[in-house]
Amino acid sequence: MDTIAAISTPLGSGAVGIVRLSGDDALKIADELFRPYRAARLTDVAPNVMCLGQLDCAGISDRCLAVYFAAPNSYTGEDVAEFHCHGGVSLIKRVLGGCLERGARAADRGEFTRRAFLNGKLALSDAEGVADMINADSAAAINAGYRLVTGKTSAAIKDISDRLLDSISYMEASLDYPEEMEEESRQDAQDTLGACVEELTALLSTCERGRYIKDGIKVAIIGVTNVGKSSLFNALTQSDRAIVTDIEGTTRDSIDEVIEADGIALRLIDTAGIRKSCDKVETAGIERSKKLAAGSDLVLFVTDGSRELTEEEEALLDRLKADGKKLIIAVNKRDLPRKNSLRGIEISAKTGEGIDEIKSAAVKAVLDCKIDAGAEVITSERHKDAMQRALEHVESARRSLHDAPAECTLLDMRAAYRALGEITGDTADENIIDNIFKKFCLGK
Amino acid sequence: MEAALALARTGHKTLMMTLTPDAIAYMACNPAIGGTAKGHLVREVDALGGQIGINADATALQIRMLNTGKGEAVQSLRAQADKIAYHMNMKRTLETQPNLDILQSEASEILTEGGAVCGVKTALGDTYFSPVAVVATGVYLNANVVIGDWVRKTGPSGFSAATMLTDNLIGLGLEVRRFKTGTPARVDGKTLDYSKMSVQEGEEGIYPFSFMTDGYIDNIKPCYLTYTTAQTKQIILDNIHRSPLYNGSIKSTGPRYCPSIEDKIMRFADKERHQIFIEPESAYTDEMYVQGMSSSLPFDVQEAMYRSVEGMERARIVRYAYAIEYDCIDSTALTSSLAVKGVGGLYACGQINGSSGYEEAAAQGLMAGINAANYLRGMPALVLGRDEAYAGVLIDDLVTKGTNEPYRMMTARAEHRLHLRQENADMRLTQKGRDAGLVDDARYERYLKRKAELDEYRARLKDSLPGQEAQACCLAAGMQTNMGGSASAEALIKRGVPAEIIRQYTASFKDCGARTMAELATECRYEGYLKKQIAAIEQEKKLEHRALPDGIDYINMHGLRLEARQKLDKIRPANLGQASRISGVSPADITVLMAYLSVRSK
Repeated sequence: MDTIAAISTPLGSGAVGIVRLSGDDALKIADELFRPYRAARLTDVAPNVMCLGQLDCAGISDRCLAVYFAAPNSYTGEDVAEFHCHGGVSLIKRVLGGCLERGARAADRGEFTRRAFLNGKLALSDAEGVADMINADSAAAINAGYRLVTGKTSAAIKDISDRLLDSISYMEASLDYPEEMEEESRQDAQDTLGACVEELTALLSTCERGRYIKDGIKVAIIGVTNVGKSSLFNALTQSDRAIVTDIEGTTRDSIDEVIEADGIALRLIDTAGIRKSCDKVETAGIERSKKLAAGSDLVLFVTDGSRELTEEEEALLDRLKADGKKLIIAVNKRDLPRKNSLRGIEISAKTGEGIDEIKSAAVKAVLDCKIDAGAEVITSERHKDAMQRALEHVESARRSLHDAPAECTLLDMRAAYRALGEITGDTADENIIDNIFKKFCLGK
Repeated sequence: MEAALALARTGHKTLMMTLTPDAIAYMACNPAIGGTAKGHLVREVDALGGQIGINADATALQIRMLNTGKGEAVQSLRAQADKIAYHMNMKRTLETQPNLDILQSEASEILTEGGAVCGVKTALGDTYFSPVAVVATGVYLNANVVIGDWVRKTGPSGFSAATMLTDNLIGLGLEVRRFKTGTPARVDGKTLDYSKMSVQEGEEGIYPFSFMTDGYIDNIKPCYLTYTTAQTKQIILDNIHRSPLYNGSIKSTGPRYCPSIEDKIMRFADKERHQIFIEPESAYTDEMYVQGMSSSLPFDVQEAMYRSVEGMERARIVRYAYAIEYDCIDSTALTSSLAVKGVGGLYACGQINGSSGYEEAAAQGLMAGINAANYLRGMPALVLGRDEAYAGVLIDDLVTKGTNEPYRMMTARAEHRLHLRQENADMRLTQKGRDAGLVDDARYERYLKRKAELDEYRARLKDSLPGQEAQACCLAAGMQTNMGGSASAEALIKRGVPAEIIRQYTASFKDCGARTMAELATECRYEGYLKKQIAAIEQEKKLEHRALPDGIDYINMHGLRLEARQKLDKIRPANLGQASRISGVSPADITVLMAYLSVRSK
């Protein structure tokens, strides 16, 4: 494989910046650029050991750490070298430049992980887990990604798939060795198919949760003008992104920001306040907010506790409730005397009171319980699709078990196994034959 | 045999070289033809104009249909064949075949000129010139028979081994490997106590193997079922250090499909007892075959072991069980027509390709023979699809996946198994056999007549039957008669009315043959599932149509995993479908190949 290089830390001035090399010439290039203090060359040091030295390239030098991993015992399965330099955009870019000058190629997006997959270091679902981790916005998403990388989710699916395989093998063995197999593979199939339906359904039910964990919860902040939506937005994000004035309708476009609450990403959308722009009570504004609300997972309705609930606000609330939207109500301006009776979380965007409560309430409203870091959660659409197909086939097999011949039921069972194989990477036909002879004593 | 017959029957002067004519069609192991999936192969070879079915019918001692409790697609014929009669009858067929000569000789070298076969040299030094050669060495090539620590360079059943061809095959670029199989002892039937065993009778009224055999097969001799005992297990455990399989003196690859009894005991330690079938070898001998007890343990252990089986307490061994090792080739060196890649006119079939079993050998022999004949006639090769025949599955598996152990046909290997039924083998294949020149007029007329009958009555299946007839059918089947008056025969069948009742109680089907009616009912019952099966396979079929051009540089193809590069480079699949079936080629590798093809086509 040719050698690829990339900056593996985000571009910006952090404390440390990492440049990574992978491929046939990775070690050669590393030796050219880096001189350890305690050995002649980096490759004279043991692999997997970090060592301090001097890096010289493109007119700069840096006292930094370097480490290499020898194929196949590396992330990509190839020779890999890493420089852990001082952070700083120009320094890091020069180090990368030095690598490219010496024959490395700039890596494509995800190419390290792709190589790891192609070299058999990662299963497909593991590789997807890495991508999820890189793109994760929250602790729970990293956890879910980590669970994929360590194969926990695929292990749960593999478990189902293995049970199915055993049952298929049992039935196939009865077909191909009718004289030697004592029957009742059918009872076994019935038990297995029942268990598969249960477990697949349970795993699939985590998909929605999985989506929230992976992509975060979209929270639309909705309310009439000048109730303090933008102040709340700023308080939640601890920023001044939203412009706050006393002038009604300051926020014209919705703005987004991601915050983390209880390990879950909240994608906050600050919307323009709704007001009567024309004479009609049914304003276009309500329609627009309705649209934004519809696209969100949760609506955070903000009202001003220091004044009466308006007719407009009541109409808006009714609509949201009628739509069955998940809703939490923030009653702002708790620091002022209360004048409306709407029940909700009392907050003060100004003083920050009740802000943490809002965050927890948002997570709770959508996920209804705290995230269990250990439970299996399906976060990949591809997995969900494969499992859904598997479930359909398993259910169809279960229906046909008693009135169709075994070879017909097996069509569905094998199709289910194939669908799960898209996740586990197992290929059906050979595994079935192998398993038949592993499990049963057959043959003359 | 099948290869020689196919060549001779298509008008080619054919010489059949054999180590001894006494070994022609001499079943070295089980005296039985057929069994699950194997019965299908026999029917297919027969439908194409081969001999195995006719010979098995003519010499059967007993016939049964396996899997009658399951659907028709997985029902297989199995017959006990009279080993001596089977050999004599087949030898006579060969002798009376025009264009075919038999010669006792050992082929020592396949002569080539300019990359193509030009003749065969024998061990005696004689040379026969011919543009094609079909190699079918069975288990005879460099064979070693092993009984305990006794090892002898000899072929099966006391016949001699072929010793000279291996070096020649290696010289022709083939990779030679060593496989192992085994056979149980033959015991004197007079020394067995059948009262302690259960009798396994044949079945009456079963259609024979061959579409050309009229009537039913007589059941002449029964089989017997008995079991090993705790004592059997103990004897084997006490002596396992003396087993060549377990003390390391046999290193070659044996089949999981025919494990020796010591293998079964060691690998399935918790199994209390193992089934043993006692099968008649022939009407001309008292020797009985002890199915389920193949072994390579020393003779004294064998004696104790066989006598520990229920009903065999006084058994006298006539021939000891043995393991046999033999040379075979890596079958991925062959094309789908069973031609050796890179050597024009050279074909290989049977155990030399890594398969086991008479039926697997017959199917390959026939296809190698037809393709050798087509090569001579300048006709395109006949390659059966995986959706057309078990023979197609067998050959595709061998040449695409290769095999690491003797390959046995199984219904589980055929993804089209609902369609690949014994009863439609003629509909699937006889026209192809006719086109190849193997199907004679008598067989072809039979086929056309059966096809016409099937077509005629198939067309009536969807017609509404008179209400009275439909009611009568339901009544006769013991079912609810309230069908709303006008059900079709198809609807009745799908509701579970047996085919025979429809034939008896309706005017439109009363002249339909019973066999035709049964076949039509099978079609009806499978209809929905066949659709499902086809849908499941359609995607793969798409891959089948995407050809991989010759000369692709797999070794340097970016993105392929190393193992895939090597396998693809070695096997050089004809299309993506074949590539996807190669073990070691993952779905990700197929994606890379697809990307390669689409870039290339731009």
